[in-house]
This record gives sequence, C-alpha cells and structure tokens, in this order.
Amino acid sequence: MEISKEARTRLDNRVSRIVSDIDVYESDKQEIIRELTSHFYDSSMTRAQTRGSSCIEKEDVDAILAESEDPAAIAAEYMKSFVNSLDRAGVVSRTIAFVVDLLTMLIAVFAVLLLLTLPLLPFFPGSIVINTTGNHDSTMSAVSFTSALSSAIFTILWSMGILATIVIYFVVLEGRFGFTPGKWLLGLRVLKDDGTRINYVDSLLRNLPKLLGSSSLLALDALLMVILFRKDQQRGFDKIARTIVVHKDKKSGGAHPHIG
Amino acid sequence: MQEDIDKWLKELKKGSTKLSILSLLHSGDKYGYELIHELEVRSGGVITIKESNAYPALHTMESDGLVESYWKESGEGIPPRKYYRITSKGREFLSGMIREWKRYVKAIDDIWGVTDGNK
Repeated sequence: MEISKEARTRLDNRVSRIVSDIDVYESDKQEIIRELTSHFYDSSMTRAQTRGSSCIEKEDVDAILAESEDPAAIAAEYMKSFVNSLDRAGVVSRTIAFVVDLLTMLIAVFAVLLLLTLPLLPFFPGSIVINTTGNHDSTMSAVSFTSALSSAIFTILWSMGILATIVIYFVVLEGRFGFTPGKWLLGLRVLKDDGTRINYVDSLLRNLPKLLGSSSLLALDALLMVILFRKDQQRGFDKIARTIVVHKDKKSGGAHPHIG
Repeated sequence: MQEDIDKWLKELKKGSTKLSILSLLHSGDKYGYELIHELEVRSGGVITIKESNAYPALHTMESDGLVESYWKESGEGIPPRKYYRITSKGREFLSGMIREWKRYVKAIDDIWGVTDGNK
C-alpha cells in the first residue's frame, strides 16, 4: 500500500498535534507517536481499500481525521491513564527527599552567602569580624559607623541571598523540572493531578509552607497528607495547588512487561 | 432526552472497554486498529470505541499487567504495528469480569421482571 506525500503529511501533523498535549517522558512519547501513526495509517488504508485504491490519498486521511476525536481530548485521556499508572510517593520517601533538600540547600545558602560577601570584603575591612563577634570598640567612632553601615548592607544582602536561594531551590527548580535535587535522588516527580507538568505558579503554591519557614505549618501540612488525603498522598498545599508526587519509574500495577 | 441517554451509554461503554478488549484478545494477539475495527464489526456496530478510549485503556491495562505488547513489521510501506497479547493475569481477570457481568445482567433482568414485567 502506497501513501501520497500530502496524505502522509496530514497524518503526521495530526499525530504531532495530539502528542503536543501529551507531557510524558520522551521514550513513552515516541511509543505513542508510533502507535497513533500506525492507527491512522491503518484506518486510512481500510478506507482506500474500500474505494478500490492501492494508494492512500489526502481524501482518505481527511475523512478519517474528520471522524476522529479532538486531539486535545485524546491527549487528555492519555494523560489520565499515564498518571493513574504511576505510584504515588508516600510520606517516607518524601520526607527523606525533603531532608536531603534541606541539607543541600544549607550548603547552597552557605555558598551564596560566601559569594555575596567575599567580593565586598575589601570595601569593608574588618567589618565581618566586628559584626559577627559584636566586639564594637566605642572609642573608634569611624570604625563604628563603617561597621553599622556594613552590618546593614550585609544584613540586607544576606536576607535577599537566603530568600532567593530558597525560592530558586524549591520554586524555580521544581516549577521548571518537576523535581528538586532531593526528589531527583529518590526518583520522585511532581505533576498536576491530571498528569501534566506543573508550572511556576503551581510550584509556588505547593511550596508556600517552606517559603514561609513556619515549622508548625509544615507539620500541619504534612499531617493532612497522613490523615485526610492519604489515598491521593497529597499534602494540604498539594491539594490547593492540585499537584501530586509520583515515583517516576514505579508503575502502580506492579509488573510492567515490555516486549519488543 | 436522547442526549441524556447518550451520556449514560457513553459511561456504560467506557465501563465495559476492558471487558471488550480482553475478550477479543482472548482469541489471539491483535493491534490497536484491529481491536477497534473488530469490536465494531462483531458487535454489529453497537460497541464502538474511539482512539481516546482504546489506546489509553490499553496503556493502563499494560501497566496493570493484564496485557503485554510487542512491535511487529507489517509489510512494505506499512508502519510497524503494536500488538497486544493477553497475560495469564488478564485471563484470570477476564473470567472474573464475565462471571460478574452475567450476574449483573441477570440481576437487572430480575429487577425488570419484578417491577413492570418488561422482560
């Protein structure tokens, strides 16, 4: 069976439109592309054969695509099945990931503070020693003024540095990639509850307790996951942001045979 | 009214997709389009499933270990096809579903028979 160039282009375009809304790993995506291509090819081929032709023409593909569903609807069903097939991450793996993240972030914060401080040291000689030890010498008013000024500058700089590191670490990294270094290490991934990727706003929402730095809020949020949202394994702020955390390689059905 | 019935029917068909697919695979390995086409032909056009229902369902069933898949070349110029094969877990699941289906249909029949004799 032959296929005209125009027919093939139309077919490929439709498949591309469907998978453009399917946000899964590249290998899964390629598998879906191959299967949908085969599906539309076979349907068009049946139509060509019915009209006694041995070549799939543009009209065959058009007729098949006209009967086919909305590409976004097909993609949405794929995403639903994808997200249902993944194992939700429980409180143990998520806590371990969080502890790893906290330690990594502390190192990152330390590195950022060093980077912010070292280049400015030549302008404020001795200021760090005075600030950190509190050994102000009241007889040296010039030094006191410099130390007060540098103290203010460093306090602002350091606060901004710490806040920026926390935001970048938890919100930007997760919003961009769907995981933090801790989650990556544990093989976890954050997704929307419909299986699509999260964006920066989702990431900001679900990470609010971490940004606010309130340990009681963090504990309450996690407690909600254990008590109230155990089935979906969602923290309170996961529920608000409509996000879930999954094991990216673990299928919930157990065995996942893959032949060929 | 027809709109409501169509909506209900859609849900009913969705609920029986697994049963239909596994029943067809019970008689031999099949690829996606073949499954969709054969289902329509064998049910006299009553049971039709669309791409959005068939392929994601097959994906889920594969994750659940009810079916397994393999790619096979189909001939010159034809793209390779993904074939599905029922597993032993799938067979067990199918016989359980058929048993429950029959029980359910009988129960519904009994309800009709009792209430208005519409049997």
